[in-house]
Amino acid sequence: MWNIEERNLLKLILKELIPASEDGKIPSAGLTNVINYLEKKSKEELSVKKLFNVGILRVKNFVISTKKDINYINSKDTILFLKILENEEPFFFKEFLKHTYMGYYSEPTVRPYFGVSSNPPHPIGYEVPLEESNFLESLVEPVKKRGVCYRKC
Amino acid sequence: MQKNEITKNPKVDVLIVGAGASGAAIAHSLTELGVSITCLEQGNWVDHTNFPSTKPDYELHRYSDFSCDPNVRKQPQDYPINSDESPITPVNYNAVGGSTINYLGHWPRFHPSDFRTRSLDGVGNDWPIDYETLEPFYDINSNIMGVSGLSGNPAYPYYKTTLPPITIGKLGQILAKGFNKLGWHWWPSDTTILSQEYEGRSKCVNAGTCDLGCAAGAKASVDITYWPLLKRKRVELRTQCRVREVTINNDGMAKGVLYYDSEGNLQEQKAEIVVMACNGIGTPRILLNSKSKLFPEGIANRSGLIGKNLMFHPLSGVVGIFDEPMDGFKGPMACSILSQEFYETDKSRDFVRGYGLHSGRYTTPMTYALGGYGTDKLIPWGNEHRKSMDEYPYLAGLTVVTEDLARESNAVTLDSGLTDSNGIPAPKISYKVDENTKKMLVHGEERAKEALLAAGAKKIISAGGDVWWRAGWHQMGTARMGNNPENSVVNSWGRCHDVKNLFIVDGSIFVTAGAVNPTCTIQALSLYIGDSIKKNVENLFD
Ligand SMILES: Cc1cc2nc3c(=O)[nH]c(=O)nc-3n(C[C@H](O)[C@H](O)[C@H](O)COP(=O)(O)OP(=O)(O)OC[C@H]3O[C@@H](n4cnc5c(N)ncnc54)[C@H](O)[C@@H]3O)c2cc1C
Ligand code: SF4
Repeated sequence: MWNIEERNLLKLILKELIPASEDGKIPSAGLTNVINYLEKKSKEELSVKKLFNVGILRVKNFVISTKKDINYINSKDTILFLKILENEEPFFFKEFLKHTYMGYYSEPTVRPYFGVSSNPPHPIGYEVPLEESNFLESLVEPVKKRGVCYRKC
Repeated sequence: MQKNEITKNPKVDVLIVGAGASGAAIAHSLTELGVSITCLEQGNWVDHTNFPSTKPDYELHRYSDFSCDPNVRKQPQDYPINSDESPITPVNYNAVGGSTINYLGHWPRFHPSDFRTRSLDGVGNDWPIDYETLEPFYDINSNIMGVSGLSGNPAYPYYKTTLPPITIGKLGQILAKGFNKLGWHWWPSDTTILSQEYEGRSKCVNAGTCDLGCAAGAKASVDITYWPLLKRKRVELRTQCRVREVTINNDGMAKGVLYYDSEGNLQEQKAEIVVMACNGIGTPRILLNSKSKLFPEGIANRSGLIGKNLMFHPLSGVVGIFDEPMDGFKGPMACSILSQEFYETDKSRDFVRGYGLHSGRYTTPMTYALGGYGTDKLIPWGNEHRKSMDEYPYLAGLTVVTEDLARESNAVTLDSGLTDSNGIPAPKISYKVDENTKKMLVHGEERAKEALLAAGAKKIISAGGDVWWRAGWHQMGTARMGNNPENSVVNSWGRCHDVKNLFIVDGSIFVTAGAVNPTCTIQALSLYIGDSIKKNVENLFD
């Protein structure tokens, strides 16, 4: 649905919305899968499609206004543009940001950067040892010592 | 093919509307009567092997087909809810199992004082029953649902839990030490999540996505606890049947119900007794929609109180950032530890009644990015985003769960324009957070900060008193219980004052809200009502 030019326009802003980590280990939201997710969303819902088209047009105009090749637009200019866009098109911006977060964090390869498994949580889950009963008893001991704390009535 | 005429079904003894927590419990109790019992449920059975938590993109389902918000979920069995005039929207699940399909299994009981708020604190009304009345039914229900917990909690009269506690995890241990430093009450959460295998169900694997369905079967949803027992006892369950109204005879007794089947055809089901179990929003909705000459304002509504006195548990959250990973996404979402230090009224404070500090575990990265700690505010973009997400593994939070006071102006009415797919008017919520509650939230947030700092938090993030929008999990009070027909809808055992063969067993009949999750009390109440029906069976309609 989106051509290469449009995908590149989106990539330009996505990588500023969620930038890569300083050491480059955690990727930015410019990932292909995020763009694919946004495209899928826009195919599924007409209202999203319309909204995104408005956004793409704004980005296109921004790129034209810089008089630079898209690959040479610097991060500072893009961030400035995004701040203006956030101000002038708050509804689009919020929706786009929401979908960007959804696209990015639903990507299984991203979760491990935050300590969360790339696998679905079921059936394996996580290993969390049960507290030994002695340990738990010692932890609640001070609470027990204070005695009953409900009103008898 | 839709038919024009109404299909009439043979009369049954007991007809229950709603196959969720309360409907299943009363059905179980009444099976002892050996009578015919039929339950009508608008949803279907859910397939536990296909829950979102088994899918790679599981988090996305929280914002679409498995959202707790029916206005987002929009599945065929859902009805819309107009919450434009409320800062809190009701959430639910419509299926066999009701909202226990996506609930979080936190299982604290009411306190004895919750039943006596008028006598003790001069607010709300006293219940016509007390804690002791429900005590045996709490125990029966615990054994059927399977409750893990640590017996001996000093915030309650002594009771024994069915199973040992689930793990409180690293996060719970660290917070517990903070509470101990301050000398405040805390206790491992009671929960219907299994710490050990029980009745053929597996123990919890700490997947942390209990709201997306428990594919392990560790969380007690009533489709896997009560309903298998009910099937064996030949309770008839008709799914995809949406009740439109309760009908009335000329003698003022409920005749039965009219409902739409899966094809959209209207059917009539007559019954000796009708039991409403559609939850605190669904039940008043159907009762208000059951208009007749005898009851122009809705069946059993001579008091005018059906739909009124809606209570939630308004809540807000405070998050601490610690200097070691807290593993918050591992383990049941809502169940680790609970502090009831501020539960009871303290006259030195500027509010009456109280609140709990619940240590939720932490959700997954997407949920944090989209809503911080339960608010609907996206975390910032750009470099700030990176910083926020760098903190994510180090988070631990406390939610302030407040007791709501009953106000007639907080109400469920029928929306004049919005309907479900069968054309039944949708419920409309008009609700304001009470001044007393606002003070509690402010107090609670300050105490939560104190506790987090005592536990070692290096930084605090707070919602600043904003109540969570999708915190309408607990829906109570909309057809309350009482001895006086002028200021209550049902009597002390759930029978409508105005219609003597119509019973209500869900959270609608709560008189006060307590400051704890309500479902163990809803089910204990439902079992108690079943028991009362059995005891009064000879003169049930007197
Ligand atoms: C996300 C979430 C988390 C929660 N966490 C907790 C928790 O940790 N602890 C706790 O105590 N509680 C929790 N709750 C609340 C708990 O789920 C409810 O209190 C409980 O399920 C209420 O029981 P009920 O029988 O009144 O209603 P439900 O269990 O909601 O059942 C009502 C049933 O009635 C059916 N119904 C409604 N209208 C009609 C109609 N017209 N015709 C036919 N059928 C109809 C519905 O489809 C539904 O299946 C949570 C709820 C949610 C949504
Ligand atoms: S954390 Fe435990 S209870 Fe929750 S969904 Fe996973 S296995 Fe089930």
